Amino acid sequence: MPIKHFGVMSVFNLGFTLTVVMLGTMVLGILGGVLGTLLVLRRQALMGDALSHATLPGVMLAFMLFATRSLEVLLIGAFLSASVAYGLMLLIKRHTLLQWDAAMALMLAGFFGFGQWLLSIIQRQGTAAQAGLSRFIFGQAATMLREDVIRLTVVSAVMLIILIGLLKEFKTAVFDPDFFSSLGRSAPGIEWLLRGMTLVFIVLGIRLVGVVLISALLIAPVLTAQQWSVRFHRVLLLSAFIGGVSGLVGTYLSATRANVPTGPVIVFVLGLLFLISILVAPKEGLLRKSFEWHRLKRTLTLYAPLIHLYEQPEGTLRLEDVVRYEVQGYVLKDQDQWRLTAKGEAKVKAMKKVILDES
Amino acid sequence: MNLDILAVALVTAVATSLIGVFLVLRKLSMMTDAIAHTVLLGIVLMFLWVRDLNSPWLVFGATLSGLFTVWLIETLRRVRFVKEDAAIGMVMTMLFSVAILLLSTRLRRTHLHVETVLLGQLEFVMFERTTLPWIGSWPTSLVILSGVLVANVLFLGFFYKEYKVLSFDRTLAHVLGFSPWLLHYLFMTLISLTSVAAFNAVGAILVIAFMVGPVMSARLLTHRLPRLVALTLIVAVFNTLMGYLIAFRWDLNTAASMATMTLLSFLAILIAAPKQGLLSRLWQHHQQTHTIHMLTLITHLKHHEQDDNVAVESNPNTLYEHFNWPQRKTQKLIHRSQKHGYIEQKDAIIRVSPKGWQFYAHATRTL
Repeated sequence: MPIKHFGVMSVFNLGFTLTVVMLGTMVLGILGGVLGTLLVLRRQALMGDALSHATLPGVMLAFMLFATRSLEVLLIGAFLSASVAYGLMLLIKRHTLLQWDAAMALMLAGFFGFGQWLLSIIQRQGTAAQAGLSRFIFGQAATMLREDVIRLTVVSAVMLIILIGLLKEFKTAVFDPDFFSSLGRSAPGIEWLLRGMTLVFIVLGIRLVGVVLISALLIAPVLTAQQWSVRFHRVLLLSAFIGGVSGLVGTYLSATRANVPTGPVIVFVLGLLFLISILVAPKEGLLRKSFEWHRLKRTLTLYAPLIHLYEQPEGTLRLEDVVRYEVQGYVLKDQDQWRLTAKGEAKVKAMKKVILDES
Repeated sequence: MNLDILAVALVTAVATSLIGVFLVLRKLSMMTDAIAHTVLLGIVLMFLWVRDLNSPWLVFGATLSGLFTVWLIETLRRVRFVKEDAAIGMVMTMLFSVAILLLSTRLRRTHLHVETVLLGQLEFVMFERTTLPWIGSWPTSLVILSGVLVANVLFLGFFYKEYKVLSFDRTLAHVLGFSPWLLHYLFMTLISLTSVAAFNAVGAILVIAFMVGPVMSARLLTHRLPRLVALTLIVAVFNTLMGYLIAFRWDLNTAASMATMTLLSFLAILIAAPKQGLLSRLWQHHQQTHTIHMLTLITHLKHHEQDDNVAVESNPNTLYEHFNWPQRKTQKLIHRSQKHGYIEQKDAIIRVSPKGWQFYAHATRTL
């Protein structure tokens, strides 16, 4: 039964289910933004992608062993199998000469294939309850129940509290693990905490956006936020904000149109925000850059003769330039020779500095 | 037993694992992951254009979108200073989400499904057939994949030397006058083409296992490039045959079964490989610990050989106090050294034997 008046959302007259799902994806987006900031800075951005694919065999095994579709059981299975995959990756990294990215790719695809293989066993047995399992691959936010959202929100809130409470520790460990260790704190401990939380995040999130796209929630908000600022705390806040907004807007867009899956829409919204940020970001944005470039070009065509005069004090100037410069107070006639005034020299130095910065 | 399926599987495995050798050596595994996902966008866009699932334009468009992915990732990295892994994750998910959105809105009534794209449909390859002059009717996938295999073999055979240099020493490649940029994009075209050709049979995700898995197993067995290529192909064929047999016997998903075998054979080799395997490493570690401990004992005995209180320092029963080690550990060490014949005991004093001196001299020289 739809309840029309539910908190702030009642302004939009959204149904109760949609409101609940939107809240869920928003919370997930916020958590993804915060966690992703740490992961991207730690250069483990692709961790999410590898781990999410590796959850599949766990889900299938849990289903086969316990013959249940109870979400808790399946999620625990997912968590365990992603942990095993991660453990294997660390093992390979530590004890062999194989590259980390290759290990990641193999575990990603191998575990996914194994999960697929288990799924084909389940399908052969023809259990009636198999239908929901493929949802884990592509995600389906629309089927979230109130209990799902409550669990998601509680777990996310706990993780956010841990993250915020230990923010100083995380920040130091991310930027300078050696310094962090020298303070007598456990850098591996923080590392393991981050890994554990990433696992939990992925296990919670695959149900909403699916295994392929979950890593976007960890990467895209951060890269977007990084276009606007380079300060850790600002990137963190912005990234959480962008993640939350994308979750909210994406879910709304997908719910109001038929047959549009939620995950891709959220990721699409994230992509749009990223593109917009690249264009209009105040310092590094492409628009600002091209504007500055044109202004520099104009300044140079107008005032290049001033630079020549600065480099060669005996040089001459063309009449039309001289008239303009004298009016603007950049040059002064001194015994048949045009000389730069103090203002003119300042102008030349400023231009030179801009040119140096640009090149 | 359906030989068409087996043939497609074998050709896929050989074509993908061959290119996988250079891909893993050049550290492009995750880049390939991105390509394998984003070829979907190329296929979808081309399908919207030509409206035919078997058109060669689909392969063309998908290969182009793979290249576009590589270019986008590198541009993002160069211009916006985004780290490579973050750029890969960003571009991959964005293009993939656009493809899924197009699929679920514009192409709902066609039989181009996300499931088939991601997971492949090896079981159905024999239904799409192409008739070729002289050799008759063959599954379309087999024809395309064989073409790609030939292209891979020719290309890698022709540029073997260049890619060898480029894989191991990029700077040298530059100095020798090869264009790393051109070679890189040629290679990426090849990867893209191979993923596109293979994804119809095994899907976009499993193709990565076929590319990366065999070469990683082979890498644990050898360091020589020619041997690496040979072993990779052997492992790939073994995985395919085993996977196919298992799938056939119990009527399971063939591609997934092959991927599972890839994972299992890698794990088996990881554990049991003669030099780089985990068991062998554990054993080596064990041996090293023993050697170091025996050397410590001999050094101690040597130090106190001419000592006045040699009776105290070299007494096997109190030795553990001088080492500050647990008593049991020290006793075991003395037993082991005696068994090797490195020390001799006389009247509660242990001394280094001639054999022990030899061992000591040899070990200290090689350390």
